[in-house]
Amino acid sequence: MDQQVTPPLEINADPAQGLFQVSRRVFTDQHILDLEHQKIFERCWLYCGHDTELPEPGSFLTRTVAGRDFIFNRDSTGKVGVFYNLCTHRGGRVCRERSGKATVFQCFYHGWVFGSDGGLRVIPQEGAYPDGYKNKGLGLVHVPRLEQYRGFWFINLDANAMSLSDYLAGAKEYIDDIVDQSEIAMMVVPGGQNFQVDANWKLWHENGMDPFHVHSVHATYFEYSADTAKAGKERAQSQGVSIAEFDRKASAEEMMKGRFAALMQTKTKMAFDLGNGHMAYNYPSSHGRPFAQWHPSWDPKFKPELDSLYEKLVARVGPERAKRIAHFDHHILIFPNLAIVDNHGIMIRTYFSKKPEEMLVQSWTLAPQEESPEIRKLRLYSYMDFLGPAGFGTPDDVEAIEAAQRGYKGAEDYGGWNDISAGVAPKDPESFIKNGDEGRMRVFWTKWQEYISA
Amino acid sequence: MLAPAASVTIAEAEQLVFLEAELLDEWRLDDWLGLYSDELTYLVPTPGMPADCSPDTSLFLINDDRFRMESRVKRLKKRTAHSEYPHSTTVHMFSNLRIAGHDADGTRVNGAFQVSRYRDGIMDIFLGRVRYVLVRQGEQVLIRYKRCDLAMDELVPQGRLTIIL
Repeated sequence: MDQQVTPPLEINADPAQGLFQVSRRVFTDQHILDLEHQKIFERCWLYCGHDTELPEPGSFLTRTVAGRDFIFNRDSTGKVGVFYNLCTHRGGRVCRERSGKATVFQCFYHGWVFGSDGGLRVIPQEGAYPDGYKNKGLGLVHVPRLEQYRGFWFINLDANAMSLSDYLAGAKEYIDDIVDQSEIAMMVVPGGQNFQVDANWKLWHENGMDPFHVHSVHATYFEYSADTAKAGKERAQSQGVSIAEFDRKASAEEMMKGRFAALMQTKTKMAFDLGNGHMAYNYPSSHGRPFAQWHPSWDPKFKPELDSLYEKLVARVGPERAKRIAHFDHHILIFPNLAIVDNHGIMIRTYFSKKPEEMLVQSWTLAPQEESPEIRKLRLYSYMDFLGPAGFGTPDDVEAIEAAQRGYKGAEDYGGWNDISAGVAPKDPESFIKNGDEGRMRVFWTKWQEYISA
Repeated sequence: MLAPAASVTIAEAEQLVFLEAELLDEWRLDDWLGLYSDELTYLVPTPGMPADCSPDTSLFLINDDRFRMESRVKRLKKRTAHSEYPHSTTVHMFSNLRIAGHDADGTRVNGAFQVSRYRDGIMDIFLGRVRYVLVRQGEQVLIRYKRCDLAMDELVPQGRLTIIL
């Protein structure tokens, strides 16, 4: 997993010494951010939106990706497009609504009209131009590349980029484990959570891969989780529902034992370098999963339906894969700025910095289209147990990375380095098995260095 | 279930809502919980969503029943609730309160809120519309339902919402 990195620059890697460090300058320096914009965000595939956000011909959304304003839409024939949201005449913002349905977009500045396929339809003062002027490539500007994988639409600002399929590489089978939770298709549930975090975008991505922050940063979540399990256990017992298989403390330590001990021995526990800077990891869940895994913290009334979903899943994908899909939580980190987290619900999250010390986070949640109203309600309730700007988990991650960002202010004075060495040369060979390590983060940083140095 | 509620007056509603503001600003969170009926709902939709969106079908920021609200308070009182330790200084202002109707659930009170949050050198403002359902229980008037719809499309620059609105 750990590739050789050429020092010096921003990463200091010395495998013989068990060392991997990242300069704190990468979080504060405007020049490095400019390089990232140019060498990473203008070259990599970036998540733009989900197919189900455009339900019918004419559906559109305005969406910000890599700091650019785009129109993400479906034209009158149903074809998905992504256009720069500016008029080719004088640069007016063509679409100023967040979402809707439109067969044409009219720029309010001088009245030019574009079709939902981006083509220029009307120039109000057409007589002032030569014959056929509006057909001379004055349509809305398409994003250079637009491709999708199983409903996830990505854009690329580099016309010569490799295909999305090649780019996603080994991440595809992990995305499959999300998408195949539906017999039809997954959908984005209404309500996108956009929020600012006062930290560099890479800190959020790194946090999503970091195994060691969980116990300290999320202590209150685990205590809450234990409370829900205790209350739920009493409720289940009072209803005569057997919870023997769940009879354990819902603590992080216990999560590694008991019912899940056997599962933990499988290779899926391991962090994987999926190629192209992507990584993913699965771990056995210690809570209910809205797709096909009941837990005592939930009302027993949900158990029959969740059990039946599991049986259907086994019939559809086989027992091995069904176990992986339903019993494990999944974290998928797509280079450079997409996280798909499947635990209390499914979260899609992107993050981008215009200033080194600040980012815009955009997140959405996915659910199986055919999900029953009862399970959908449970899913959306469960999501907030941990996730989102007001959940019991996410805000503490935000505090951690914002506090780190503040700390970096003085780092240039002493040439500060972040240490990401855990697992480079472990003295205890069992260490990774027991606790994981920081190798996942090195997957990201190694690729980051490669792009920045290119 | 409670019997069909005897209606609550605007004067009683204001006293209750202003007391809620005071208790929240003083971080007397256990006392604040005491203003709510046993069966309770506290909702904050995702910003930018329509006023009639439901937590059953849309992604919300907060959808608390009594169990999760008590858990929220329990969490906020811990040093390990890092995002609120040290905790924010807030000023809750509720205004434009009016009785919007009475029904079997209780008395509906609509209004507006402005909550400022100061923490670690940064001041943020949360603005929006508030809807309450108040119920009379014996001598007391209690909050059964509170919903705060933020008047913004995204939490920029506010970020996380770890205080109670």
